[in-house]
Amino acid sequence: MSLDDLLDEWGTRSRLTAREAEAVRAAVVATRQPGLDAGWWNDLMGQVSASVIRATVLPDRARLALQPGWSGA
Amino acid sequence: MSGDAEHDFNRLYEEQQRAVHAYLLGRTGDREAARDLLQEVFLRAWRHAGSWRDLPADRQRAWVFAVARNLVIDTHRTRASVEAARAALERDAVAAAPAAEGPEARAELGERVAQLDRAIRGLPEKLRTVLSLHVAGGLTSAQVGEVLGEPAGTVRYQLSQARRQLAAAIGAEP
Repeated sequence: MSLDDLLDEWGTRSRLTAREAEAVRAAVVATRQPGLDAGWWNDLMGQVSASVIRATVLPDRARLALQPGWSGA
Repeated sequence: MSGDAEHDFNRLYEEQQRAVHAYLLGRTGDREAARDLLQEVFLRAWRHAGSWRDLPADRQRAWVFAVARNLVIDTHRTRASVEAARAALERDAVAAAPAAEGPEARAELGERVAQLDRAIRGLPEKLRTVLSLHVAGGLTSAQVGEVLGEPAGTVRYQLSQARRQLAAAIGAEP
């Protein structure tokens, strides 16, 4: 077998298979989308926390008013 | 990322992954380490799409290879782990499934390719990278030169040096 043949065989074995290449691509695009900066989670959690705090400081009567079936009595 | 941007990313990956993997293979001498680095290169491309999307194709390639070069430099700082992976791969190389017909022919081809693989790993990094880009990456001498910042004539000379050294190492005609 000539050196060229062996090099061709080596090149074929060294390259990623189509399945391997696709696995790499899929792993990359499965990561978080660019454009969402590192602060987005903090911003979201800040909004959730604010909502929780607002809910817990409502007066009892106001919370009751939010219950289904409340008649205003 | 918008659909257009994902489309652009897929196109960049489709066009460049083979050459980038070949480059990383040449630099590390390790197929699996090269695959891991390839993923890291394109992860950066995915996350920094704004840096390359509006560039012309040749500049996009330059951008990707610049990322690859920087990653290799970082990786060389942890060379010990790469060497360990390479040793493991070398042990496995003989057992890799060959493509020739018949068990004896397959075994012989497997042994010859493993021998060649060892010889390629023993080449100076520069020659190994040039050879890998040309053989595994499918790039012409001119394209290899563009990637490495070398004249095409220098690349051709390096390829002939690599072939001569490999032929001597495995007892084949250059």
